[in-house]
Amino acid sequence: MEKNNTIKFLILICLLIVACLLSLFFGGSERINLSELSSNNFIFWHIRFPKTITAIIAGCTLSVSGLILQIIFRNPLAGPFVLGISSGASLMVAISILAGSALHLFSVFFIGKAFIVLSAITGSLLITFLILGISKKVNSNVVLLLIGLMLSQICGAVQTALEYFSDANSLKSFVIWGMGSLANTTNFDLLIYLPIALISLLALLFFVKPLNALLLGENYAQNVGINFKSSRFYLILISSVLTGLTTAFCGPIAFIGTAVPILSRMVFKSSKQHLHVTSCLLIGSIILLLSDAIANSAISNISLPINMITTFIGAPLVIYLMFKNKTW
Amino acid sequence: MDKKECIVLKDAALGYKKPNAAISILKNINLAFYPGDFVGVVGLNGVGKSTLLKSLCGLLPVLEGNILIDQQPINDLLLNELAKKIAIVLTEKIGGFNLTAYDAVAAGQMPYTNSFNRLKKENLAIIDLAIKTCGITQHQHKLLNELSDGLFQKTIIAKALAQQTPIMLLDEPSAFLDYASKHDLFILLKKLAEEENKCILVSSHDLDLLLKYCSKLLLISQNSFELISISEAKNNKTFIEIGGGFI
Amino acid sequence: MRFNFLKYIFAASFLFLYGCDQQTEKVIDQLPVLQKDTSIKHAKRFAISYNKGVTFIYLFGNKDNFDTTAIYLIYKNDADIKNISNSITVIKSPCKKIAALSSIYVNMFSELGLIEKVAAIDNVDYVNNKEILSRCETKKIIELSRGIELDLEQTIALNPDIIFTFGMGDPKKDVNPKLLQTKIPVAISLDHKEETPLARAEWIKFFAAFVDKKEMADSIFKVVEKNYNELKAIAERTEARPSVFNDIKYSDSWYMPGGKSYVAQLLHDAGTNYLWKDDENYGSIPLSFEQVYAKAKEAEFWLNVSTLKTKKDLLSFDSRYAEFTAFKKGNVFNNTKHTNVHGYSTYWETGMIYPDRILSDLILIFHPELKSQIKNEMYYYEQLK
Repeated sequence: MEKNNTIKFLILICLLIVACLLSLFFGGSERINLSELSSNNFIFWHIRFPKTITAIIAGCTLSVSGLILQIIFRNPLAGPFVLGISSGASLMVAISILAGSALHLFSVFFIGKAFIVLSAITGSLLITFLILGISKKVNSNVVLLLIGLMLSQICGAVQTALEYFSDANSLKSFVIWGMGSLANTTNFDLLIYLPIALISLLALLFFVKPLNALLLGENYAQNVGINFKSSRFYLILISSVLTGLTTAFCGPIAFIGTAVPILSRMVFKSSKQHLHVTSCLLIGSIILLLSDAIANSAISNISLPINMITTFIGAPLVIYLMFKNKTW
Repeated sequence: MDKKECIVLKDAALGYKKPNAAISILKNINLAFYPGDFVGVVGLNGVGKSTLLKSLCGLLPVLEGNILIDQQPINDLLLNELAKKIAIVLTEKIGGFNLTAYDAVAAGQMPYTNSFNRLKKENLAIIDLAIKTCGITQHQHKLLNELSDGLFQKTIIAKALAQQTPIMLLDEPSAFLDYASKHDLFILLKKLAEEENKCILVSSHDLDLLLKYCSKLLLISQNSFELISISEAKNNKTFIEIGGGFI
Repeated sequence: MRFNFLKYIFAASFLFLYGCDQQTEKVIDQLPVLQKDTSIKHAKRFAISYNKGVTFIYLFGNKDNFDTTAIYLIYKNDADIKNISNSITVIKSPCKKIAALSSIYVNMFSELGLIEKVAAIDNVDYVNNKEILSRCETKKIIELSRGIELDLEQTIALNPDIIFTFGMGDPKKDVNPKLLQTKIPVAISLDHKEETPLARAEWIKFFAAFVDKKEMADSIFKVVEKNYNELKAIAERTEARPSVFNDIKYSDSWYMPGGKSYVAQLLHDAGTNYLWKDDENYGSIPLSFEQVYAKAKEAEFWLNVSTLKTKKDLLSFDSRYAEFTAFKKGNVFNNTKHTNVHGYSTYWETGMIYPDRILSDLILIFHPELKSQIKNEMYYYEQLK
C-alpha cells in the first residue's frame, strides 16, 4: 500500500517535470532555442517563465482550496469555481478597480496590486461564508452546487451591470478579470503571488489533523478533540486566501478546484488528507501546465482560452461523479 | 462508596443555543455516575436522551448549572482532554472521501497523536485491538458508505473503544444490529464496565437487554430523572409506564 | 417613367440569370437611362445612379464577388415609384427625421450641415462634438441604444424617416425582423468593409445621397482626397521608414490590425514600416504577448494604446510593456488628444471622414523633419506622458 503510493508520487513528480518543460518550451508560438537561454532571453524569462510559475501556483492554490471546500462541505463536487467563490472574488476585484480608479489608488503599482489581492480575498471569504450559511439549510450536495451556480451567475450579472456604469478606461481594465488567464502575471507580480501562496499552503500544515477529523462530521470531530468551529473558520480563511489570491492574478479559472481533488482521490484510494494535499499540489500543477501547453500549441498561432481547456477536463469529471455516486 | 463520581450534573439545564435564544429541553438535572456503572438510559422518543448524551461530551452547551467530569467543570476542560475522557457513539451516518472502516476506528486515536496525526506502533496496536474486539477484522478495509448498517455501527463502537476513555456514551447503538450482535454488544459493554471499570451510558429501546446486562437505569420522563439500580426496575412506576410492563 | 422601371427590372433579372458572378457595378452601365455617379472612385461597396427625381443606391455586401445585396430607391414624387420590387427599399426624400446609430454617422450629417435633421443616435457616450452633445442634452437627439441592443420600442415610437446603421450589407440578416416589419427604412453602411482610408471617407457621398446633399459631399471629399494625396506624396519622398506596431493586449490576446487593414494602409501612406504589413487580413489578428514581443521589441514606434494617456497607465496593465524599445524611447503615441469624460476620442468620430488629418498626424509623428511642410498641429494624436 505505502510502497504503491511512493511509486505513484514518483510518477507524478516525473509528470510535473515533463509538464513544466512542455509549458516552458511549447507554451507559446515562438520557438525557444536551448542555446539562447541566457538571462537576457526576454521571451523565455519574462513571458514563458512567469506563465509557467503562475500555472504551478494557480494549480496548487486552486486544487488545495477545492480540497478544503470539499471537506468542509463534505461534498465531493465542491470547488471555488462551482460554488461561485471565484466569481465573488472577481466581482470584488471589479468593484475595487472601479472604486480604486476613482480614488487614484492604482498610481502606485504595489498598493494597487495589494488592494486587488485584498479585495479578491474579501470577495471569496464573503461568498464562502454565505455558502456555509446556506449549506446548513440544504442537505443535498447537488442543490448546494446549484445555489453556488446561481451565486456565480448573480456575481456575473452585477459585474455586467458595473460595466455599463463605468468609464472606458476602468472598464477595460476589469474586462481582463472576466476571463481566466495565466499570461498576465509578470515576474514582479510573482514576488507578491508566490510568497502569499507559500505562506497560506504552509499554514495548512497546522490543519492537516482537523482536515482529517472534519471528514467525520462536526460531532465526531469534536469528540476526538478537534475544535470544529475554529478549525473550520481557519480552513475557510486559508481556502479563501488561496482562491482570492489566484483570482486576483489570473481571474476565475474553471473546474481545477473541483476536478483535481476528485482525481487525487481516484489515484490515491486513501482518506489521509496530508497525502491528498500533497497530491493536489502535484496534480493541480500538472493539469494547469498541460492545459497551458495545449492552449498554446493545439492550434498554431492561436492561443485558446485556458478556461476552455480546464472546463473540458473538469466538467466531465463532475458529471461522471454525479452518475457514479448514488448516495445523494 | 469509596469511588469518586466521574460524571456529576448539578442543577443542569440542557438543550440548544440559537443565535437569539436558548432552548432548554432538559431542566434541573441532578445526577451522578461512577466508574463501573453500566447505565441504561430509558425514555420515550423525543424525551431528550440524545440531548443528555451529547451534552455530557460537550457537543451541546450547558445552559444552566454545571456538568463535572472527574470533578472538573466540563467547560474548563480542553477539547483534547475531554476527548481522552469521553467517547460517544451517535446514530448519524458518516462516510465518503475514501473513508474506510479502519480510518474511522483510527480516528479514535486522534486525541493521542501529534498535530500531523502520525500513528505510532502503540497507536496501531490499540486500533487493531478495537477492530478485533468489535469483530470487524474482515471488513476493516471496506469503505464506510459501503458497509451494512450493523457493520457501520460496530465500526463506530470500535472507534469509541479505540478512544480508550473511562467514559463511553452510546446513543441507541443496538438499533441496527441483529439479535445476536445486540447481545454481543451488551456483553462487551458489560465486560468493559466490570473489568476496565468504565462508566458506560447506553440509551436504548431494547428494555429486555438493558434489564439483562445493565447495572443501573436512568429513567427520563417529562422532565423527571430517576436513577435506579437494576433490581428496582421491575417495581418502578416510570419504568413500567415507559414500556417495562410488557416484559 | 413606368417604362424605365420595367426596363430596369428586366435588365436586373437578365443579369441575375446570366451574370451572378459578374460585378454588379456593370448593371448600372447597362442602364443608359440611369446615370451613374462616376465621381465615386475609391469606395467599392456602394454605387449611386440618378435619373430625374429618383436616386438608386446599391450596396455590394458580398465579401468576395461584390454582388448587390441591397438597393435603396430615393424618390420625391409618389408617382415615380409604381410596381417596385419588394427587395428594393424605398425612401421618400428629403429625410427630415434621421436616426443615425453611430457617432460617425451623426458627425457625417453634422459635416453636411444637417445636424438638426438627426433625431436619434445610438449612445451619446462616444460623442465629443459639442453641438451633438447639447442637442442630446435638450432631447432633440435621443439615444436608442444605451444597452447592448437597439431599443426597438423607442425606435418605433420615434418613427424616423430612415435609420442608418452598420452591418454586412444584407438587410434580411442585418436588420431586426421586427424592425423590418415596421417599414421604417434601414440603410446599412458598409464603410467599415472598405479597404483604404479614402474609400471609407468617400462614404460621405452615400449618406449625402439620402438627404439630397450630393454637391456638398463631393466638395468635402474632394478636399480630403487632395490633401491626402499631397500628404502621401510628401511622405513617399522620405528615405526613412520607421518601424511601428499597434494596440495593447486584452486578457490573453493582442489584437493587431491586419496587413490589409485601414490602419495598415494609413501607416504605409505615412511612410512607415508597419511590422505586420505582409499579413493578408483586413481585420485584426489575435496574437499572444510573445508573438508581438518577438517581432516588435526593437520597433521604433508604438501607436494606439487603447484609451491610455500615460506610460504609467500602460505599465499598470502589464509592466513588461516597458521592455519595448518604443516605450523606452518614449515613442508611444495615442489618438487621445481630445477625449470626452468617458475616454472616447474624436479620432473615432471624425477620423473616418477626414483621413487626411490622421495622415498628417502620423507624418508629424514619424517624420518630424517634415513639420515645415505639414503646416498644422496634431489633430488627434499625442505622445504618452
